Amino acid sequence: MTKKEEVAEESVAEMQGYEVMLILKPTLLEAAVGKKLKEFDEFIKSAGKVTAQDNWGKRRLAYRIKQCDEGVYVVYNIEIPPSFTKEVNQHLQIDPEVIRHLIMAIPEGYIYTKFSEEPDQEEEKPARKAPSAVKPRAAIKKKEVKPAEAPKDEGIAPSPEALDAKLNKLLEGEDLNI
Amino acid sequence: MAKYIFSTNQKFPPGKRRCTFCTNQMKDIDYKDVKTLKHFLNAFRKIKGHYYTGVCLNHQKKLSNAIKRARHMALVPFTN
Ligand SMILES: [Zn+2]
Repeated sequence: MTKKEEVAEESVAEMQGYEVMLILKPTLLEAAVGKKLKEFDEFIKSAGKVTAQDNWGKRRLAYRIKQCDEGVYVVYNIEIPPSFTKEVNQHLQIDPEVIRHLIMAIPEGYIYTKFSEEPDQEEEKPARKAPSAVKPRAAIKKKEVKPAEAPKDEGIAPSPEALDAKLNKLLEGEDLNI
Repeated sequence: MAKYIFSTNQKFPPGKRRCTFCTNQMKDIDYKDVKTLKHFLNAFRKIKGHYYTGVCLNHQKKLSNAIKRARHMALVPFTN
């Protein structure tokens, strides 16, 4: 009881944000998973509060853990006093249905976005790359071509008129002279 | 978490590549966005040296921590 009182006093003084990630056994049914998470919620609410909870669902593991190839990923964002992390760690270590867990302090200015609401990167990438690769080259080519054509036309266009005028003058002059 | 912006500095030679996290103004690196982390892993899934990726020392430390966390949670393999 004395420990709990101390925890309560500390919780008022300073709370720290933590992120907890769990991997549950894939053999659990959905109802069992819900029960498990409710228990964990209540356990944390005894000392702090839950700011976000996200269930990723069943995912393939990168390597085998305890004869399991798949696992149910769950992410929690919680606020608890720093001294309570030991108890959370112990609580998860003892649990046989939690394959693996991670407790991490959250850095400043961190906002959790849910797994289902994340944008797909693969759709954006080619759209970004294609125009940037194509446009400048085409623009450069056009620019190179256009100014080259334009002065030629301008140079050719005025010259015949001027030449005609000069020729006429010369011819008139020549006629007069002759 | 949804900040997986990435540009490979392939146009620069290995010694002169810029830090992609500094250019995108990312203070912290999340261990959950596997797509960015995979750019900094080898074919053997080892962490690439910052000489080849251009990551500054401040971000390289954070990157290595993020990759180690991702390995622990089986999001990224240790070896291949
Ligand atoms: Zn940097």
